[in-house]
Amino acid sequence: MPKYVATQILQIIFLVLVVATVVFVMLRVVGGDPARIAGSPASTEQVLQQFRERFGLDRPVLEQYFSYIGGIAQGDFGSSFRSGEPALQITLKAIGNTGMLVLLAMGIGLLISTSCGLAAGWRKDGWFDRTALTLVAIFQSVPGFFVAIVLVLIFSIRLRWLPALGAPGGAGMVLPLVALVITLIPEQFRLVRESTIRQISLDYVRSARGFGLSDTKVLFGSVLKNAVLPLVAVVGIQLGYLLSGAVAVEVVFNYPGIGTLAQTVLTARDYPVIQAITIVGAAAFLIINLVVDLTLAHLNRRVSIR
Amino acid sequence: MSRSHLLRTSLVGLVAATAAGMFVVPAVAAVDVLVFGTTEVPSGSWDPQQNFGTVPIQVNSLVFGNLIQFNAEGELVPDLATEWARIDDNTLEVTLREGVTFHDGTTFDAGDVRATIERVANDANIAHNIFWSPSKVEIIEPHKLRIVTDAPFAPLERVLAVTNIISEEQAADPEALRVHPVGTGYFKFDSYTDSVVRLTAFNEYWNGAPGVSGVDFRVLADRNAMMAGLAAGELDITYRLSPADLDVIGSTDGISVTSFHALDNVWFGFDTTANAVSDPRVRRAIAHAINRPGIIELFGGYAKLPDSPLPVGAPGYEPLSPYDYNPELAKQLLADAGITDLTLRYPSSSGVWPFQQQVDQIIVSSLEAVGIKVQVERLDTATFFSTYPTYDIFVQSWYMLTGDPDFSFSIYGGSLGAAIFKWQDEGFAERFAKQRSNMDPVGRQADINELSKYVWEELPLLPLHNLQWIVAYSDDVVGYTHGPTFAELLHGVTLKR
Repeated sequence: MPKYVATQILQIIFLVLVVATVVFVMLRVVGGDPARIAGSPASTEQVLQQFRERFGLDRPVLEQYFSYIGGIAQGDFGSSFRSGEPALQITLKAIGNTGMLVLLAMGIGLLISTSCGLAAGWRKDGWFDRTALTLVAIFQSVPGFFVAIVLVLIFSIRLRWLPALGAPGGAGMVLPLVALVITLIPEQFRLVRESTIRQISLDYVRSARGFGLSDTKVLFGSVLKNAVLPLVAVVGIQLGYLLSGAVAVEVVFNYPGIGTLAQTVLTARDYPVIQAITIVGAAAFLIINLVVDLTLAHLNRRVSIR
Repeated sequence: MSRSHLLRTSLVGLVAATAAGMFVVPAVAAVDVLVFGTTEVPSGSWDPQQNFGTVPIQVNSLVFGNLIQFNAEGELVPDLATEWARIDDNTLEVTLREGVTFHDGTTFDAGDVRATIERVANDANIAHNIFWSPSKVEIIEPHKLRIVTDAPFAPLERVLAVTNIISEEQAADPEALRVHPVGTGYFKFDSYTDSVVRLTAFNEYWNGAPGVSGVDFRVLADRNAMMAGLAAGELDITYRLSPADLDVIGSTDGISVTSFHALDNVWFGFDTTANAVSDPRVRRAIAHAINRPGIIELFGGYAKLPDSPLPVGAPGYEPLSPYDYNPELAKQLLADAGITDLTLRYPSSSGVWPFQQQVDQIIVSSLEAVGIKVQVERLDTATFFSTYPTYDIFVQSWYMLTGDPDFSFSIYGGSLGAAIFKWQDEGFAERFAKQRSNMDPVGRQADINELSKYVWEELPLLPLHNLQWIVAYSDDVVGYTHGPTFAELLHGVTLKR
């Protein structure tokens, strides 16, 4: 096991190094001189050079590269060309904001789809089932960004109940959350509904009813647990889609997450922040996967690690 | 499989939640803070003499005082100077206001003015040096001085109206000035974090505290979000709007829309050393080829068709014979210049100026209609701004910062003209110097007309349109007016929410 862990950690370090190298090279190949972007048409070559010196962009590329890799090893991703704040701090703030949005959306989505799916499946073809199916068909056919725009028009501009510009925590999260949750519900709802219908046709439910257990006890005592199992499989996949969907929603609501940050820093060619976003994202993904593998191995003796 | 998914999901959640613990909720603007919305991302440098960006100029106009300033009508009125008078063609005597302090408590005096002017007027590495003339400052008393220019300098008073006075300390410490400017204006620079530039009221301002406790410039990632924020009452003022932006706010109650002549010139430039466009005859042919009236139509009444190098109606403007849209004449002029096969490289980027994609399409189709092949290269905004002078033809803009023609012409000459158009022309340099040093207003206007005519013929750049600035603001904002430059006039502005 220790050998496995050590190998995996080395692999992660290697992969992060590859990602760091790729983003470093791409930024310098793609064009756009940060000094000229930050300067003015009247900036002289000396002024542009001062900017480059301030951020080490005047040094040979290879020297910049090794200094950059050395900095990352010490957790120093450099300072933003725009605000001077540490790039890592800016990135973690944005990731935290996006993470909070995505997790809350997933939690709310699961809560709504589970309860509605159970209710719809329990009374298949009833009025609630038919209404819910119609609604999810509508949700499924409308793109998330369109929902976001309509929500802003109604609840922010017309009624002025909720802010149009997103912010982490409080009322500023409501509309971005609604826009995301609406995209999650259709798939989750259908799964729970189908699963509920399947479960109630099984013998154990008929027996429970035969023993005189109330519908509530059967539904929450037996059916719920089995009906939501298929959800577990899709949550991980949906989380990935949700992250990409969140980027568009963030821009529509100007929510200060990783999507809006990426858009801003790419325009400004703010190298340290672009690099931090890419590397932190890659490292987080790799570390999570390692921890999952280790935890699985610990929980399940049938999974062996050599 | 399901357990694996569950675990992975939980761990993603754990990490994200941990990171979420690090987030800081951006401070929400207080009720009496005026909030501007912008999509311009400030560079992070606040040195007032190194910036031409809109947000830095707006911010610095609130953080710093000038000796003289423009009022809403464009007249020159006292600011840190109480009086000024010409002693001779080269000398301006200035009496300074007493009892003025910088935000850090230090007293303002003639030493600060000398440090400011001698920095910007004599150091070619200061961006605003392009509209100054070499000068020195003689201190007579702590609050009386003389600005002595090496040569007669007619635009001096107007130049002073856009020259922010920095302290002697910050003049000697440009890094401090860049990151945290300290001025004498009615707002203090507080911070630039989380995409918000925050200013707070300077209650010891010589003319009394401003009407609001602070000003936020909120940088937004998307124009539609900005317009929605205004319509929803979360932003108070948005400016430099495109006519298309007005569709988003429509007839929303509580929003006022105004426009003013910003002396803005969006133009089509040439690399005057490149290929056949080094020949002024070819540039004039292209001027007749481009469907500029079609471009003006895009703006639905918010842009004017230029018929002079100076923006229509600007100080010093006199109409010249326009380059009519005439493809047949353009073909004839190209043939006369011996052009049979011409290919030009053109960088195209959306999101720089309003309707830029449509403008690009009009330019390209106009040129192709007269037989000029155009190699269009689509660039993102960042690459566009870094590389446009390396193309044969390109679109850019220049506005009349000082409200004086001298500034508009500064782009043609010196290091700026050489860098953008690679145009170093003695005929221009002579005429430019002549108008600059002519202290007789009538005589100077004649010189400006001569200079206008000269560059209109030589045509290193062809003005495409003079865009009106469209400003939309909430009816909560009381007393908002705008002067002739990017500078904001917010001292008397209050909020009624």
